[in-house]
Amino acid sequence: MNKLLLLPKLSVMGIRKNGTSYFPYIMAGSFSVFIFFVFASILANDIMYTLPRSSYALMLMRIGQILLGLILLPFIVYANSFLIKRRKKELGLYSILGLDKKHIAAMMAWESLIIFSIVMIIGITFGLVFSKLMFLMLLNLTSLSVSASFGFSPVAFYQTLLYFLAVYGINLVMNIIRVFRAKPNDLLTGAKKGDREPKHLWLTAVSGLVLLGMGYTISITSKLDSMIFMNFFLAVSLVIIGTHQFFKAGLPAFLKILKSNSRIYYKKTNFVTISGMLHRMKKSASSLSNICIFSTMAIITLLCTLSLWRGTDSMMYFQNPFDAVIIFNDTEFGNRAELDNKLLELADASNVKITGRIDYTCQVLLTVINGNTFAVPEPESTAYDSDVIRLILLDDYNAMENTNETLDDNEVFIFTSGPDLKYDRIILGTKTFDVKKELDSAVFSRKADNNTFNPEYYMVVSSTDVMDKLLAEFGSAADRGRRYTIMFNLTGQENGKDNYVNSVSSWCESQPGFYNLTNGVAGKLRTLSMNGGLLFIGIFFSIIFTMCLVLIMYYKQITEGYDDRDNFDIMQKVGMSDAEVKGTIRKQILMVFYSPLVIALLHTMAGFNMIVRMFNALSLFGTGLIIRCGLIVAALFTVLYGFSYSYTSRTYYGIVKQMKTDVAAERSIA
Amino acid sequence: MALLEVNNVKKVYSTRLGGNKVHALNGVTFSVEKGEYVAIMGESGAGKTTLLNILATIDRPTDGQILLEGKDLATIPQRELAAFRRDNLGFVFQDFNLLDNFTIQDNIFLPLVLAGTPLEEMKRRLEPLARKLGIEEILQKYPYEVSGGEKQRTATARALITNPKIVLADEPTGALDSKASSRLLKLFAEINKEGQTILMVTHSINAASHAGRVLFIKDGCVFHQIYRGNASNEEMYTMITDALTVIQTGGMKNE
Repeated sequence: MNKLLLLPKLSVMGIRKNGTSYFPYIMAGSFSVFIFFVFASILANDIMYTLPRSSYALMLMRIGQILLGLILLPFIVYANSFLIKRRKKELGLYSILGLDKKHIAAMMAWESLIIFSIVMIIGITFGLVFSKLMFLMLLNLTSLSVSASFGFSPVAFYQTLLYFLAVYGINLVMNIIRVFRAKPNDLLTGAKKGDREPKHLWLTAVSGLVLLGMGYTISITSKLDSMIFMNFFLAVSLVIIGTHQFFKAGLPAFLKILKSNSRIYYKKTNFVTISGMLHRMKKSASSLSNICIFSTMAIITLLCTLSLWRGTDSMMYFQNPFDAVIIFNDTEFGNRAELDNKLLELADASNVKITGRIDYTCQVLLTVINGNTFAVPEPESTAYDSDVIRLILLDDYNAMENTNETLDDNEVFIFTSGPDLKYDRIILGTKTFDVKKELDSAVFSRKADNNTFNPEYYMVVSSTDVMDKLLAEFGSAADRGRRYTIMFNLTGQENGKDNYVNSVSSWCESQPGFYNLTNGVAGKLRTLSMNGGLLFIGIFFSIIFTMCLVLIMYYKQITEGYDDRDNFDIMQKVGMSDAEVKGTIRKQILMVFYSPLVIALLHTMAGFNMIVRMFNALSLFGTGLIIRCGLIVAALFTVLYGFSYSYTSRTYYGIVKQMKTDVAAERSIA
Repeated sequence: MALLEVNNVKKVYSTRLGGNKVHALNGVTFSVEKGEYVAIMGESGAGKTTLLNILATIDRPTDGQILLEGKDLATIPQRELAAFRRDNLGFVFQDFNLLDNFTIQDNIFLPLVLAGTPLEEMKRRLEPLARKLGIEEILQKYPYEVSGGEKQRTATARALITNPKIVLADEPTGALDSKASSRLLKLFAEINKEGQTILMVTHSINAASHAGRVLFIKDGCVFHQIYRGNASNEEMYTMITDALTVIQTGGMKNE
């Protein structure tokens, strides 16, 4: 055979011979290329930039691509290190048969090149076929206008090529380093190594529990405030490190405690199980913690995605209760009749109709809230370090709500968009008011009990007189003029609505006393676009996380299978029946593989409060909805996990059985 | 009555496709008395391992009968086989077959734990055994931390701790260097002197020369046997060598 062809031929053989472990590796690699290419294509396409309101989707996609790069690299490197460990013996044999290390390195280079090419070809082909579909899906989810022209992007191709060249390059370098470091003898015998006791077992175990406890505590006690996203990342980091330590030392330490109790340990049912579990835990710690972390990520991503999807309507309802909110400074703004005419005139022009219009005047006061005391703030303080209360006149209130309420001068109605205040009286500056009623709802605002971050406060007072006195007392902390607020919804075409609000906006800006206009139509579209983008990314990341965990699980099953092959036989010879051996090994395998799921579900439960709070920050207040989504996702994921377990365990039993037939074959030859 | 009686045992394997039939054992007959030390010799492929697996109840004979203390092994139901092995047989294998997840001590305890023996009783039995086999120092170590000789002595301790009726040894010195081999063989001889019945399969002349009787298997039959009588190990060695030469040349004639 031509010497030039020997090495590539050996590498093809190497890949084919290890097909059971390389096939999933290539599949996972191709899928990674596919996803990466799709993200890069969408980002690289000019159309995306020309679409109105695409900025959220673009920003999310960009973050998504970076995260993708960060996740895929360690994952592929991990898979590669597993593969190369399994092949130690084969490589050792080559080196003993006379291949130099540099030949082996060249062979590894060929292998990497072959795998890289296969992965790129499959991934890019699928990418080309499906990227347009994915693009349309993204546009659809983000409610952006559908554009049909989406073509192949060379930039996306180069990005994908470079990224995966780097990833597989790193793998190749690591493989070569491994080959050069190893002695042939190590390579031959390296496959079987005793388990090493982790260093500082007890310290690590305790610190792991402490870290987990800290992460859990942060999550469970988290409140809706400006620190929540920071705290979330802190909790996630703590839990990730804690999980690793828990599997590395926590579980082994627990098993060691059981083992050191000879009354428990030297029982027929426990003896084999405890020491078997201890052995497996030590070998599998990193795989198990990775499976656990990927499971948690998949569950939480799915949970968030589903909640976001189901909760979009309620988010829009809270964020933008009205299609337009126009605020004028009441003292400067004069001509209401002209405004009314203009609103109707523009509505006709845009072919929309105004519904549910509400007008009212309110007085804004800056105050410092302490219990039921609303104090006058220090002169130099700004709106950022004080709270806002809005005073509404009883007449306006009655008109808006269509009621006939009455109030004495020392009485008020109060309303907050957050949890009920439940005060009988409140103190505004130096004046004390009796709370005649706390309102459950109001046409001008939305209420949610868990909206605890900067809720709005409204107070209905009996007369202008009362309002003026308060204004005098609050002085500079009071807005100079009163605010005249118009809120309404629209019916008609989405485009027409947006145009209408924009034209109203530009007219209002030219009017004296114009203060602010909120375009609820655009706001809703923004929410739709952001949620759609998150949904898109969420779907892909859930798939990626699941893929990672299935592959790790699959590789773990292979390793366990090879290890158990020998143990099966020994235990039988020492006096366990076939059924006993199978029973105990199945029990151990189940415990090993389901422990990450149990911990992942535990993580999710602990993190649930925090997830709810973060959704609150996005104005999604339906805790019930999120709980329902959580239960659905947890159930779904458990089924999926069980399915991939039983699927991958076939490989395990295949390997163990293969040993049996091997032995039978040997006997039949003997 | 002999401790172990093997009557006309046959084993036929059919290849997976059902075509060729391979006769691994062709009617083996012999018996072992209590307290005997028997070595079974033969070239590779002679059927030694098949025979041992059948004696160990891991495999079942196609035909023939095996009696241990008069009890026919074929009458033991499948689900009781494990317990039967545990209670009556001790195994020493060429590749030690120790479990890496147990310490040396726990490896030795394994059959007793499976039989539900109390810890005190296990410790009581282990102590003299460990002293005799010279493994007291390594009891808390793991198999991958000790030498091959120590592993095999551990395996021997595991085989002996159940006080088996018979110890079955499959090439016990096969994976050991000569020093560790001779130490193990000496131990086997001592144990045998104390009354333990040993049946050892080997193709090492040196190992066989320690036995009280050597059976030669060829083409699935017992071909010849030698009794030690009062001969020394060295004399035994010569006798075995001579016998092997005869068998090989005799075999040539048969072909």
